[in-house]
Amino acid sequence: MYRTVAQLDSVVEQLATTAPDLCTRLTLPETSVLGVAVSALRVAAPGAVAADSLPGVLLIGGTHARELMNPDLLVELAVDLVAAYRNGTDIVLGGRTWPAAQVRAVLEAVVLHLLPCVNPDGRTYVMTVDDMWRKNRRDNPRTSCDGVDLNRNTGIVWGVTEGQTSCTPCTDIYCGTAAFSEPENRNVKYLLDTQRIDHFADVHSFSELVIYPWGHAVNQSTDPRQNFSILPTGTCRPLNRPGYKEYIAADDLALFQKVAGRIVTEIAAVRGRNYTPEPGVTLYPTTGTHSDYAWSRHLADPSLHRTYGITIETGPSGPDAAESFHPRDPEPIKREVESGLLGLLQAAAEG
Amino acid sequence: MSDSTPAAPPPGEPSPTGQDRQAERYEVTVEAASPESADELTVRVSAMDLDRLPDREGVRLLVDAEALDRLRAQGLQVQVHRSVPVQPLDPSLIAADQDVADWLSERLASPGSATDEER
Repeated sequence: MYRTVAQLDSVVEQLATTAPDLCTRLTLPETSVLGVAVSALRVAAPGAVAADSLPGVLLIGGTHARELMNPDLLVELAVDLVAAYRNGTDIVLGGRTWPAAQVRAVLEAVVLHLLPCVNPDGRTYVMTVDDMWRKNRRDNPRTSCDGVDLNRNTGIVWGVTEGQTSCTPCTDIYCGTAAFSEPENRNVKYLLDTQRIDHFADVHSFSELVIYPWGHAVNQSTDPRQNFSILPTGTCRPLNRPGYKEYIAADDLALFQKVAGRIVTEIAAVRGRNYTPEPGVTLYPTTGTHSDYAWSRHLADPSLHRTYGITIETGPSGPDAAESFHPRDPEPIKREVESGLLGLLQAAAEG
Repeated sequence: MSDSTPAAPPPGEPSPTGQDRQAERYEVTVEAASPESADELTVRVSAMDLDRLPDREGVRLLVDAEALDRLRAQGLQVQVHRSVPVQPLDPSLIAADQDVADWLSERLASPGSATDEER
């Protein structure tokens, strides 16, 4: 079963009301393009330690409207964390049990931010009009086509139509009129700007992947001068740079691979599904994605906090698109990915 | 993938126009008609600005009738697996308000392990 936008919001509200010592509801500065208020949830153990002194993790879901299970997964993770912390209960996820003491230790070592449903208008549209809708519900002027692909609209090589990115409003991969033209994305940026976020995960569907940078070009770790800061933006053309490879420091790549491996291991422990860790470009080239933007921020501006950004593609390629994006029984997938996200939290707690 | 009969008309045959045609949508996979690397196929499909599904196994797309025609006009081998109507999510997959409220009350109140069944 999938929750409506209002139901997801009610879970966030009730968590903040029922467990105010652990949960804080954050009303984000922007409403959606159709005027729906958007809330995030901060989950942190009560204590004397200032929140900013602890590693922060930001998990977002529902960026692409039709990928329905991920907002549900994120609020269920929050509920499980709160129940485990308050009641001393283990979190049992198939074959993987997260002992209550382990959960408590994690919650006392990190600050978790959840934005369960980045794109509320899109989710409602999926439930009421078109179950394959992907974008937000932006009314694109002078066209009959609505929507911007929120995972092509951030400020990393924005508007370069490498691979699966387009400047054409009628496509499902339309990048919008400018980086962060969409209020839903400015909410994500707001959280990155105002909170200490060490690890970021954008939860999508499908294909059982854990994706790390980069999405627009193949990685290299030998030439720091060859990096995104020298690339043009807003060209509405592919990169057209034969042989271009994007720099990622070897130790950063190693950390991405280590964390991705941790997530993969914890997912597999639930029921044996083997997710694949890989750079984003391996699936297909993209620009303007949330997770690459999160990672790029400190590289573009060293005064910004370093945030390791990944994308998780939940669930297998099913027999058809509908069953892949919103399976009739999403429970096993949600449980395995919840374990993977707990693994991410634990990795963040360990530093 | 499914072997269901392609719902789209083959090239050269009459096809709907206007609103009906816009409402048509198909799930397809694409292969190159001649020996061609996967990367080259990806570049060709990417240049067409289509809705590519995140499938590691190959080039899988959700396209309307016009895009389907364009794919075929490119000389690509297109297998239509099924039509995908524009329709809302099956209402039976949407949670009821009371069920969500009951679930949350139970989860936040009850001691003991959170088992898969309780979720």
